[in-house]
Amino acid sequence: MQKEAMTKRKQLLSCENYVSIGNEYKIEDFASMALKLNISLLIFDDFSISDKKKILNSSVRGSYQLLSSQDIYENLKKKTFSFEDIVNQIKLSYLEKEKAIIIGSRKTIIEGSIASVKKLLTELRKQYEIICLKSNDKKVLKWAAQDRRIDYITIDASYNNQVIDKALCSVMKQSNKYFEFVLSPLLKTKTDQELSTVLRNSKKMLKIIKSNNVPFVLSVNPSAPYQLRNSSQMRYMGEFLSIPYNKTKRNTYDYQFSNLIKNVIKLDDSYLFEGVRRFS
Amino acid sequence: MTVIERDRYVIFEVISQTLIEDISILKNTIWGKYNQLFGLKGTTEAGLYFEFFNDKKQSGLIRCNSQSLSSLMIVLAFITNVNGHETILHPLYVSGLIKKAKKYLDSLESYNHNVD
Repeated sequence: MQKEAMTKRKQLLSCENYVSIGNEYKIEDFASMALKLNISLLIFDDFSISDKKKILNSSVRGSYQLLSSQDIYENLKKKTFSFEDIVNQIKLSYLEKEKAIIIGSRKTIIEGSIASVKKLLTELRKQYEIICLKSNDKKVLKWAAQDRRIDYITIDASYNNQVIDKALCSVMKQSNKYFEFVLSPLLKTKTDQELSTVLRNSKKMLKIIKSNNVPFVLSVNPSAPYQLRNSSQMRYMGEFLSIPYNKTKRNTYDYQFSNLIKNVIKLDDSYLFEGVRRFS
Repeated sequence: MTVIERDRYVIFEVISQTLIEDISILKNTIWGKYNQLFGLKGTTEAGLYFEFFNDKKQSGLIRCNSQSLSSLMIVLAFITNVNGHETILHPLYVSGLIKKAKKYLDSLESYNHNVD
């Protein structure tokens, strides 16, 4: 019976990869709304690993539990070795807990030149779990597509769609990097004219991404708890942008979760780069 | 050859800043959004019918054509505001049988507006 309930919850897992916290709302507001919508992973923007530790230690919550993937990994790292095993084990240990949410930290870099991005990346070293880049410069994006410190290239419907081309997609695919497509402009439009522009732009960009088979993830970028959407709602919004519902099974949770775990492992003190051995 | 149009029943939950008591406001919002996204043709083909709304549980039941299920889900995802208040219309369950849908709706606990 317990196993059945776990598989049911596994099917419902969803993630919001880009939560912007302003001054108005707290992490707890987002977390309680995420529980209602069955969202299991929240990644907060401009929220460092040390901030996360403070939140996990300080706040008192009655009806739910905030978890850190780092803490779960700490308990598992001596038992499991392969990456897939670690991801599955962390997922399972999350599913065993009821009313829990995993929180993560991320930083979105918005810069116009390669030099400034390089400088920022060295400053941000080991402070965030996920690092994303937003830029309107083709050169910066192509450089970022090959840099292993950057996890996602963030694009949204208000973006200059000329920047996304076949060459960039090919580099992204080669270096196994993800586009993060932000759906919030679709929800924030006020007039029909605005909505039509946003739709046209998004469809154009997604058509290029889809035709080049570049992996991408969907996120809503909520700045208020009422803007949160769960996995199935995001996939339906994607369907409106002509991405079939069945082809986005992994784009709303699995990719984000494995990317987060990959970085958690890399940030751990015991991590050794591939090809490096420790002498005992 | 006769073509049978099959129905789908969608149970949804209203998560809003205030309690919604009047179904007509919700109806207008959903109709309006459907019209904005899919046009008059899409709206008429969807066969939307608001079967039931329980204001205590803040959840309701909408009937639609099986072919238009995905468009109804898109509409529910796109709604951000009902009567000037920030709102989420969260689809909970989809069934092809009204009895089963009503059974699910009965099993829902009453809505606690002040949860956390």
